[in-house]
Amino acid sequence: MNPIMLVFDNDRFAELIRFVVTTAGFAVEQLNDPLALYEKVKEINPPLIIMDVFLKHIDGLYLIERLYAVKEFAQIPVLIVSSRNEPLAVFDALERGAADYLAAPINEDMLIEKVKKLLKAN
Amino acid sequence: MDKDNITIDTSRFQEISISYLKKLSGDKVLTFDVLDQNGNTVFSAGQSLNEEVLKKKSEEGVKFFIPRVTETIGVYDREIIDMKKLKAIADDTATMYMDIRKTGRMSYEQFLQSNNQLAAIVDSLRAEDKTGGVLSLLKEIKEFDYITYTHSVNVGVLAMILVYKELSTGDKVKLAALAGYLHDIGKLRVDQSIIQKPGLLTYEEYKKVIEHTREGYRILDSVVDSTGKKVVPNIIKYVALFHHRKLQSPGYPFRDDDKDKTRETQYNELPDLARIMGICDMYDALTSATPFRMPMSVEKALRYILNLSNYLYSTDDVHRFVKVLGLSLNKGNPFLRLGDFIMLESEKVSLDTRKKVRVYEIARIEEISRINFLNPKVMIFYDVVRNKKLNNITVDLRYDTSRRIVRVFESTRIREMLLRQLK
Repeated sequence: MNPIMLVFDNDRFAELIRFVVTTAGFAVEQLNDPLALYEKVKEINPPLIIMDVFLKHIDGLYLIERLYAVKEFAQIPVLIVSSRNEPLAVFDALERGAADYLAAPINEDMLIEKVKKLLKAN
Repeated sequence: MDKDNITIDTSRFQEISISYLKKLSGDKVLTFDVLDQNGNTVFSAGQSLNEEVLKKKSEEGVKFFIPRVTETIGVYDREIIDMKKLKAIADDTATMYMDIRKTGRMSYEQFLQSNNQLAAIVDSLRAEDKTGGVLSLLKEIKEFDYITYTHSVNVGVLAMILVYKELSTGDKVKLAALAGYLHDIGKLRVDQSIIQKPGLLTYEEYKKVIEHTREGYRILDSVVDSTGKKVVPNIIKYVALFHHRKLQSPGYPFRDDDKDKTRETQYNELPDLARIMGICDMYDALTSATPFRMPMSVEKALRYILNLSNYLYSTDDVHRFVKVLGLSLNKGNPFLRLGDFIMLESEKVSLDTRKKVRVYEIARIEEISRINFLNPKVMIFYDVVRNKKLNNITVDLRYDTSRRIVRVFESTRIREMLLRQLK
C-alpha cells in the first residue's frame, strides 16, 4: 500500500501523529510544506491524507477545496486533525468534503480507529 | 397568433405600453426580457430595442409584457444602462493595462485617467439610480472577457454600490470605486501564464501570485505628479496590499509572528475598505468563470459568502455585504430558503469565567420573508457547543438580534445528519 500522507507545518504535532500512525503499522510520508501538496499527491498517490487546517501560510480548507476540484484526486479521503477546536471548524471541513475531523487534544485510539475506518472504506 | 387569448402569468408579468417601450430604444440596452402575451421572448435582456421591430410587432397584434416588480424594497435589476459609455471605459482600461504590463509602472497620467474613468462610472451611477438599477452595470460588464480587466471594474462597481447604498457621501463612494478598480493592479507585474493557468499551482508559482499584493502597493506608491509628490491616497494602496488578508485563515501578505496580537486582532485593525474589498473580490471571483471552474450562480455565491462568516471574514462584514447587496444581486429574491438548515451564532457571558463565550446552535428556517430575509423565523433544535439536542424552540430572529446566521448547510451529508437529529 502507498504511504499515508501527513500535511502539517507544526513539527511537534506532526511528530506525535507520525509516531501514533507508524506504531500502528502504517507507512507515512510527511509533507512539511503544505503548498507542495498537489505535486506530492500526484507523485505518491496516497490512500489517505491526514492534515491540519490551521496552517501557517495557507488555508487548509482552501487546499481541500482545490484538491477535490481535480477529478483524479476526488477519491482520496482527507482526515483533519486540528488544534482548531471549535464547532464552525468541524462543519466547515465536512462541508468541503473532508471525510472526518478529529480535534486536539488527540486521543490515540480514536485516531487509529478513524484511520483504519477510512482506509477500509476506500 | 391568437390576439385576445393571454396565456402569460399576469401575476408575474405586467403589460406595458408601446409608447413606454419606445422610450427605451436607441443606444441603450435592456436589462430585462420583454415577452409577448403567450410568454415568448420578443426582446431579451442585453439586447438593444429596435424601434422598427417594435412597431412591426405591435401591428401584428403583439402585446408586450415585462416582469412585475412585486415590492419596492431593495434594488431591482431593471434599469437601462448606457452601453456605449461602459464599453468605452472597458476598452480604455484594457489599453491602459496593456501599457502598465509592458512597463511595469503606472504613470501620473494613467492614474488621472483611472480617476476620470471612475468619475464617469460614479456619475452614471447617480444618473441611473433614480429607480435603483445600478447593478445592471455589473451584468453588462460581465459580457467582456473576465481575466484581463473586467474583474477590476466589477469589484470597483460592487464596492461603489455597497458604499453608496450605505448612504455615504460622494468622496467615499468614489474612493471605494477607485480602490476596487485598482486593487489587483499588481497582477500586471505577475507572469500572465501563471495567473491564467488552469491546473493547480506549484509552490513556486503560488509564491509569485501572492506577490501581486505587494507589487500593487509598489506600483501605486510610485505614482508621482510633475513635482514628485505622491498622488495615490493611502487607503487605495492599503486595499491593494491587504485585500487578501483573512480573519482566521492566513491570507497574504503573510503576517509577522506577533505574540501580542492574534490573527483576528490584526485582521480587525485593517482599514474598513480593505476588509470589505476582500468580500467584493471573492464575490466577483465566485460568479465569474475562472480557468479552473465554472461560474457559480448568484444565489450559490451569496450562500457561500455567508458561510465564510467568522472564518475568512468577520460576521459583521459578511452581514453588511449580504444585507446591502443580497437582494439586489439576486434579483430581489432572498438567497436563504424555507427549510434550510442554518447555524446561529450568539454571545453570552460564562457564569464560571465571566468571559464572553460564543454559542452555536443549529436551526431550521420555518418562515422567511423578502424584507427580513436575514432574520427569518427559525426552529432551534441543537446546541453545538454542549453537543446536546434541544427541545425545539421557535424564535423569530426579527426580535432576537443577538442571534445571527453564520452558516447555511449545503452538503447532503450534513443535511441528512441533521434530519436524523430532528426526528
